[in-house]
Amino acid sequence: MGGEAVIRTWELTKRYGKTTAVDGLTMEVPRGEVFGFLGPNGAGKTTTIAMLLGLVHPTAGGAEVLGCDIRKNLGPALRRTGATIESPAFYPYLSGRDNLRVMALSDGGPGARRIDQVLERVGLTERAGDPFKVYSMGMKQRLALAAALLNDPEFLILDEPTNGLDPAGIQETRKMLRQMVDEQGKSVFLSSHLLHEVQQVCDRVVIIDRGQVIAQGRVDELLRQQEAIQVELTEAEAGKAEAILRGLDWVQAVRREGTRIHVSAPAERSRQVAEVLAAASIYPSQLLRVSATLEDLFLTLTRDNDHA
Amino acid sequence: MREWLGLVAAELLKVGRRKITWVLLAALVAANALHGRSLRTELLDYRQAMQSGVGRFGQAIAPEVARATAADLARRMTFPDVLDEVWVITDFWGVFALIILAALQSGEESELGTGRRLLLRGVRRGTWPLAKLCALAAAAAGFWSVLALTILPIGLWTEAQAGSGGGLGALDGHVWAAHLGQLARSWLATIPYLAFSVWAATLARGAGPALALGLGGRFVELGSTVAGAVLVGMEMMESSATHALYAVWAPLHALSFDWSGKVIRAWGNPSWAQPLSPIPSSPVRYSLPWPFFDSPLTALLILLAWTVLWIAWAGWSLRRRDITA
Repeated sequence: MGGEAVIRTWELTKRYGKTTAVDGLTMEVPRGEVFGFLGPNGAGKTTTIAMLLGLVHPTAGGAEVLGCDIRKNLGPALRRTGATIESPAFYPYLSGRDNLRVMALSDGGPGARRIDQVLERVGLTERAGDPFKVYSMGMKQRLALAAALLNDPEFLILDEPTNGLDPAGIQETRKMLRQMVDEQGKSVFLSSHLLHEVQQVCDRVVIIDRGQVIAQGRVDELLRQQEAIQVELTEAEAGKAEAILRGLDWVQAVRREGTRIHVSAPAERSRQVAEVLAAASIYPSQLLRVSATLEDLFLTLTRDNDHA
Repeated sequence: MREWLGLVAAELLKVGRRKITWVLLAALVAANALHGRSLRTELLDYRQAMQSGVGRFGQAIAPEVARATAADLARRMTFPDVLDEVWVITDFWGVFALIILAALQSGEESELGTGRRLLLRGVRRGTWPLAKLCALAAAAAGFWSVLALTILPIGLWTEAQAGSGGGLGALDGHVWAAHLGQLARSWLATIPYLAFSVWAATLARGAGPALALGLGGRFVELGSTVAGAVLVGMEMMESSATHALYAVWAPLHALSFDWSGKVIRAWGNPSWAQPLSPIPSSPVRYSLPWPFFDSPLTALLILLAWTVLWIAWAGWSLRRRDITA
């Protein structure tokens, strides 16, 4: 991975009594990227984020955010970080603008002009004077994002920031995050269940389950590992073809479903699959390159982990 | 320092935007005005009895008692005495109002999850309760100041109902200074209640339990004062029948916010001793049985100790805690 890391964790662990929420998590989040943090419900994502933000004390292990130890000296890192965690929490009797004023006053930072800028950025200018209690879920999320952007942070930690947003809002958020990373050199650590969105916006992901890392790497590399070639044959040919394909050293796995064979191998090997089978006088009626999605990868890995 | 001042300013912004702040303030002004009105009713009652010897409810009142009481009431309804008279109401109910405000203001952070958001901005956990207390103390100063000002028109109105008095002209520099001193002392005596509310809300993680503890505690204090008036009387008469009860009650009450608060308010002339006097508002004052004290310095130190204890405890518990929701 190399380069400077915005987050570094080592053996980070959190136990609540006998329950282990995060179990020896070790990961590194590089600077200047959008980093996806994925996992099924109860995997320990929010607990991890809460530890990184100093809300929850780790039981063992440690972590650094922007080079600051989360146990000893997190304050300076938090002042350079914008974060949202779980559902948007604001004062219901204050307007959106006044909620941001409270935030701005609390850290002695930005003034009215910056508040106007972030409200405009998240598309909330027109409703900024309305009390928070009348906001829709999407507007609440936008305000949470505005609060995270208020001190113009170099690093954003966002927990489900698109929850409740309409498709246009999701797209705007995605564009905004990419723009912040690509044009302003910021870093984003993004936890989300919307895998399609994560796939489009993230450079790297880490997938955790039951508090442990089960996969991490660049999104394109992980997806390549999930690529497959699907071959449709007659009943008589399928058995023979399966045996041939299993013998190829670049094939990771072969799965047969009736007359269909699923070959786990890079998609560009499809021509070679056709040649190998043709050499054995087997001619598939159909040969498809199957591109993997992050959702496929996620479901495969978390299902495998369930069976383990 | 900048962070701390920012937190205080943010809290004050929230206090100002809360409807309940203004409702409580309006209720206190109304209570003061109603007290002026009730004094008038009482005055008319005794004036009637001066002639007929019969009160409004048909009760017999000796004319000389009615005359003395009516004169006393008229004095209490005119400047400068009317200031103290109405201030008693402010002082009594104001503590309740500020406990309610402090509990709501402190408890909401846990209930709404906004405390988490503040901590995400790098606010130090230890300074948070202290900043809250300072903001609440500043808000309380604003509360008392508004009430101290509204007492002037209420006093004029009350005086007009008594049909005598010299209006604000009766107030010289000495009276104004005394009124301001009263305001400052009432404010000081409120601070431990605010600190207690911050502590209760922090530990209980909500406004409801903080309200119950704050208001419940205040009622216990007031109940204890009533019981104490009997026990102190018995103790002064050297009655052995209640001595064991007194021995338990007295040290607790002497250490309470209420006792120290009264010493501060009365500045060395504890007002609770007055109910023991046979004549209302008599200057007769008994010496205080041990362990009571009438030193404002001791009272200030005790109130400060309580305040530090509650805030330090709240900060300590917040530092150790996982903020999960």
